[in-house]
Amino acid sequence: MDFRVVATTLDDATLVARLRAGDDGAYEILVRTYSSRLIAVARRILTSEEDARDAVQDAFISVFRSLDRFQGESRLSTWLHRIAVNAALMRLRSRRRRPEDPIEPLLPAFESDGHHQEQFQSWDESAEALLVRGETRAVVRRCIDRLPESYRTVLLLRDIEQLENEEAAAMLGVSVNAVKIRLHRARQALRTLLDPHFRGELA
Amino acid sequence: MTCREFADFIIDYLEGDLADDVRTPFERHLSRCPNCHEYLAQYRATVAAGKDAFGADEDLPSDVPEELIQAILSSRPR
Repeated sequence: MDFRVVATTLDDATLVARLRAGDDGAYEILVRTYSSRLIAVARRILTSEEDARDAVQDAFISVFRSLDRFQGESRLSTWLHRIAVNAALMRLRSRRRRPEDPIEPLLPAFESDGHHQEQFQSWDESAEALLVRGETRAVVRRCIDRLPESYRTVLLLRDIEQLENEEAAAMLGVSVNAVKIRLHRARQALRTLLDPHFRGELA
Repeated sequence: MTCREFADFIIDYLEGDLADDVRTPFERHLSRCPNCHEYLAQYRATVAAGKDAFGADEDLPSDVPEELIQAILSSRPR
């Protein structure tokens, strides 16, 4: 039996109703349909397949416990995504942390009169042309991994997982303004890290 | 507006959150400063590259081990 096919024919409300009724098949459909996608989400945050699987297990436990709270205001997939992000963040926090590298060396430097110290050299291909290449994606992922963790996390939540500032702030336990500042710095730092690649020196 | 101030306002500019009394000097600076023009272009390209970095085939979910599926299913409330 292909559960994916079944799942696409079951709307959220029906699936949730069957889950609440304790239907074995519904649990099987839910887990088989969403686990691989949720592992991908957790792996982006945790950068470890093993940790990602543990986080997804945590996420499903929390899903099972809070089925009664699913209101149907968002899609089931969106609700599960948020729970998986949260579970991955919890695991990230519990992981032994290295002291974080400062981000300042990756931010633009200015003269005392407010001018940039650096003369930016143009990136020699358009962003679109660079993006279609798989190896460029791998370079970008490696550069994201080099960001200090609190900045990497915000960049992932906002630009990749596409959470709103408010959602990201709530999950990280910081203010909306802190999220915006960190996102801006994370993007600036990522630009610095991408610069040698996009100038074509290493591409 | 200095280049330093310009850099600080980029994120709000891109989100359409700049008040008129800041957007006007921001855009004036943008039209006069080739270095900040380039910086803004690279910032935009960086955001696009980040958003795209995980969107492709190489990030396709792996096969989920049956063991994990069963472990998850066994944790459901009875």
